[in-house]
Amino acid sequence: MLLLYRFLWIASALGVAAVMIMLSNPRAERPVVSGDWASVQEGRFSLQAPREFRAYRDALTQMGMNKPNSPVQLQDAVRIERGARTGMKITLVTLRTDLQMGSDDAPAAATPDQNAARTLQQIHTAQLSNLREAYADLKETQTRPTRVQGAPALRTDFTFTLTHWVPLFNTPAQGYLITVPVSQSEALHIIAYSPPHQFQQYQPVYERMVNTLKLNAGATTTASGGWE
Amino acid sequence: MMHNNPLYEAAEEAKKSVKFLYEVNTGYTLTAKLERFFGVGLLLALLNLIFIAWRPDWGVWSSVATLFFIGVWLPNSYLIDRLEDLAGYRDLFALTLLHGVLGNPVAAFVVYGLFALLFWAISRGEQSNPAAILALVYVGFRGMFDGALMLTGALDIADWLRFQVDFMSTLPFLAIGFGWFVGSLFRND
Repeated sequence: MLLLYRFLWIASALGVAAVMIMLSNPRAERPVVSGDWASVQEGRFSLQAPREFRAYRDALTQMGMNKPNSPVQLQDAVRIERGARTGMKITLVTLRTDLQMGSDDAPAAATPDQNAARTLQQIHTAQLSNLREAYADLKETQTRPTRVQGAPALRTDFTFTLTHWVPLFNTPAQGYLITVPVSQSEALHIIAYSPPHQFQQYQPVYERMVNTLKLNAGATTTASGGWE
Repeated sequence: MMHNNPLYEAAEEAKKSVKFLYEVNTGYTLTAKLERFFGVGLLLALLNLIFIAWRPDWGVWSSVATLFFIGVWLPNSYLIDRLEDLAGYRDLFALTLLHGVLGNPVAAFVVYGLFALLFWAISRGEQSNPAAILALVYVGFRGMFDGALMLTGALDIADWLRFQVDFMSTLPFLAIGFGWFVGSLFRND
């Protein structure tokens, strides 16, 4: 009987090694999500997300947006995460009217469109400074205009480090911030991030999540910049 | 020739019988126990790895099931004793608590090991830790399964390295612990 066990452990050990080698083959492309999507409804937000992701609402997502001098006031926030460095944070903010927006020496905007673009830039910059405080070693790689569900938006790509109390276990991450106005007084921040080696694979997943995003009752939309 | 000596041949036969009786009455040798355990344990692990390669999204649950069956086989392979005394339950409880508080199997095992050594030294060798081998087996197989999940992209290493209170992460350990309990009921001594 012992000979049978000996044969079994030797054969199984060889099999385990073979499977691990097969799994570690970098040419074997596997989808990062299973393709099974579900509806998520949290607070003001409803969207489609892969089943591997879980949605949370908590105060941590505020990320200092209700600081005294912040140009925006947090309305609602949701985290849809798969892990510590894979997920998306969506935040709805309201522009504060009690603060003077922009510097005094800035030239006056010629048109409402220019004014809207300047406000968008200011909100985006304010959120980026919040992210610099929230994430260690944040480095912006690119900022460019983009569109979200047809609305004009700003996108900044960045890299950051997910810190661990054992510095050896710090892990890099890559992500982006999109700021899109949804009404005259409201804007949406979309922060998506993933491990750098999987960023390209997660991009279409996040795009689909953003494209299915809807704001529930309470949001107002206008023709000057926002969603239908 | 010594081999033609009837006395020598009788002694050789007796040696075989002595070895046979030793294995039946006092248990297997450590090598035999290890071969018995890994003969089935590695086969179960291989089946789980093949399943993980096929359906990584179900990998966590298949690993829980596999660890349960490994737990059932552990006492039946005679690698560990049956779960029958208070010390075994105490160790399982301590490991579950550490696992939940630290959220990482390796960290839980290291802290458990340090405390076990400390109490062993304080009690001057009177302390016994029946779950020590179970914990070692668990850490080894859990590491293997989680490594496979990382290779498939279903698990991020940053999540595995994170230390935080997470009692959901104790589920695989509870599975192997419950397997130990069930396997102890079936061991025929």
